[in-house]
Amino acid sequence: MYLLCFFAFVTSSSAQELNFSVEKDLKSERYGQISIEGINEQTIDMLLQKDLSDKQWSSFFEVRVIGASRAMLGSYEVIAGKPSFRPRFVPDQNVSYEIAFSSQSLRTLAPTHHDSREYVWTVSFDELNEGRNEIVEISPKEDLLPANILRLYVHFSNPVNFDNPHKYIRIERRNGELVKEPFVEMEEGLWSTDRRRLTLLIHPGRIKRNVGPNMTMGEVFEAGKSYKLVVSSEWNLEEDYVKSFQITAAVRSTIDVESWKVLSPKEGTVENLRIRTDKLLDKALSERLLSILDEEGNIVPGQFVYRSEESNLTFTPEQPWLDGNYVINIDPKLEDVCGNTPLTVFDVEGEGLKEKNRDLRIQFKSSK
Amino acid sequence: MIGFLSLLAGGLKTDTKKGTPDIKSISKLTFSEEGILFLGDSEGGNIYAIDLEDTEKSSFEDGLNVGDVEKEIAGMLGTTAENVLIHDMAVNPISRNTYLSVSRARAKWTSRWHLPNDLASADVLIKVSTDGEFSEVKLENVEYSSVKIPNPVDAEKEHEWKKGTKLRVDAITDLIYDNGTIYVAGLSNEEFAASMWISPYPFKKDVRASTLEIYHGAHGAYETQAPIRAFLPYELNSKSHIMAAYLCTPLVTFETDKLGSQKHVKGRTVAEFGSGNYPLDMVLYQNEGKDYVLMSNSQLPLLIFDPADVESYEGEITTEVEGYMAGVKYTPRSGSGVQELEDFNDKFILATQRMPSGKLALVSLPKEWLKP
Repeated sequence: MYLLCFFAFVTSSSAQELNFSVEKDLKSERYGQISIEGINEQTIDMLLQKDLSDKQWSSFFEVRVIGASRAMLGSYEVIAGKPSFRPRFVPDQNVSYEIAFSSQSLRTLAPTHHDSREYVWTVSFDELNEGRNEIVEISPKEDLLPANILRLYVHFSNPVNFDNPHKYIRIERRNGELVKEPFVEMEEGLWSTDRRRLTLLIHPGRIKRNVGPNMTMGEVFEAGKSYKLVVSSEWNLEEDYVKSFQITAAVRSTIDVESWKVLSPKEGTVENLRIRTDKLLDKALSERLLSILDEEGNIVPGQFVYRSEESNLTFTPEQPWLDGNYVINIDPKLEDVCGNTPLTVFDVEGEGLKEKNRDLRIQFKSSK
Repeated sequence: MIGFLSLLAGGLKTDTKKGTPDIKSISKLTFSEEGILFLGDSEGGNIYAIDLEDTEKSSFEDGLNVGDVEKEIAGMLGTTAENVLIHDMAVNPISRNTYLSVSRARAKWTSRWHLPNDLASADVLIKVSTDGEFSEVKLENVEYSSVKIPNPVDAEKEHEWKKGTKLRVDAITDLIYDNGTIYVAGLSNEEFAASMWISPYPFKKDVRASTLEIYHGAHGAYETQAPIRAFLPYELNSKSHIMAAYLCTPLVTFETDKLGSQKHVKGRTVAEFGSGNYPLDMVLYQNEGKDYVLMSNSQLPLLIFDPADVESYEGEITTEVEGYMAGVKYTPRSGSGVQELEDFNDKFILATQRMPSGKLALVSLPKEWLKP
């Protein structure tokens, strides 16, 4: 159960009134379920036996936007002994809904139903989560960041509701002065599919040298200066979340894969392969754009984890390492925190471009 | 009997199976004359051929008109009309049922440079019957087959000037079934992104591809990165061609036999219809027995052009156009805000149109009125 407000209209009142409950399922793609409480067991058994069609269900149980000519799309099931409706879509915070339940109509399908009232409950869904949310971390976690950093990620403990993130996030200089428009502002935000990770994209137009926004508004960060990224507590947090950091020189060089150091794991174990990288990599991309291939060219299943504070990428295999040769395959789309890849510097055409067919592979052999 | 014939046809086919296809986005829709729905999924990079068993022949000869389509659908999506976004429309030529791909993302439509697929992936299919009844079409437990688009544009590539939009939404920009062949226009991951993919239907495992290059009169440049937005197959001078329109708005022809067999194909630009505009949809129809093409636009009016004019056009636009238009002429037609177009029946072309009230209506345009 969670926060919502409702009115109940009941045509007559006596004992054994029905009621409804709402349960959110954060893990499912579907929103959750709206269930009817108080229906007796025999009636539930009858409903299960009859294996009702959607049309039959909606003859006695519907959820609709108030004033709409058609009911909300969704599916019906008996969940934990209660008739339940699972909407196809997340309900809209700004809309009022009504849950309509007709005991009369249910009785024509299941005469064991004890009640004969008509129910219309008006509901609005306020917040997506109950209680406060929490920021787990803002990455990269480093205190020293390059002047041309491209992305920052805000990691929340719970999914976040539909709101404009830029109302709550700001960057301040050491003296408290606001940095104007540092981000590409998108009202709906750039979210991971589970709505727990927000990507903040520093305005590339201000990072790229010699383009309009860079020349008029200047770069977002100045080397040598200190800044604070503040996420306001107004965004359903216990308190303001602050990340303080200092800016160092811009990094305008490609990722030098050839300089990476590899610590080979022992054969027969599931110990981590450790790769020491040359610069601060983008965490999300580094965990996704590398793969390990065995001697036959098959992908070795396992998990990459990037720990920026140790400058290393580790790979934990699902199966023990075999005695033999392996290859680390690096996708040329891998980026560091400034958008530089192994082949290109972020804001440069032609300058510093390496040949496209360069082999981005590192070979290693499991150790004995 | 059918089983025997398919044995004779030979070749490696992808078989139809009954199940729930893993569709990630309903980017584009079209039907074959046999009533098979072809669905282009840009996000997943696949084309699906789905048998919705919607083959009851309709004798409906009137026009279909619905005053407020978004309002009819809003309740089903649990929201209000201003959030309902229609992405594409296709009409089953046998049953005359209209299919709409829909999402809830219309509130994000803030720029004249946006197209629906830029804003969200359409994830619901709604059917409108000839008597105006709306229902959901669940793509679960259906008879379907699919084929993968080889090398669609990478999911991470960002649009150069449409901030926040990924190029992947344009992996498939238009889709046509013509005489046993599927033509798919979109963006690939090749150096020259604009592409056309060709596949036979029933699907075999191989899909042929060509990258495309055209001269864009309004921009004064050759272009290979922008995708075709709307196209039609048509015979010009007894040879099979594709007539295609692009953003800003060149009209180009391609020789069909080169598509899929040549790696890189250059088109012949026959018109410049004007800059600052997306062509939205194209439909071929007959008026007094003659062929015409009706084209809808994001910023230009509804327009008609004559394929005979394309056929007799002798030049080719290869230098920057002076003035707003050049080449093959078009005739504008009254009707602003027309978006989707589909051939409906002998008398009408079905269209979606944004009315002065702000409502999106389904309107039927009489073909006899569409004479240039």
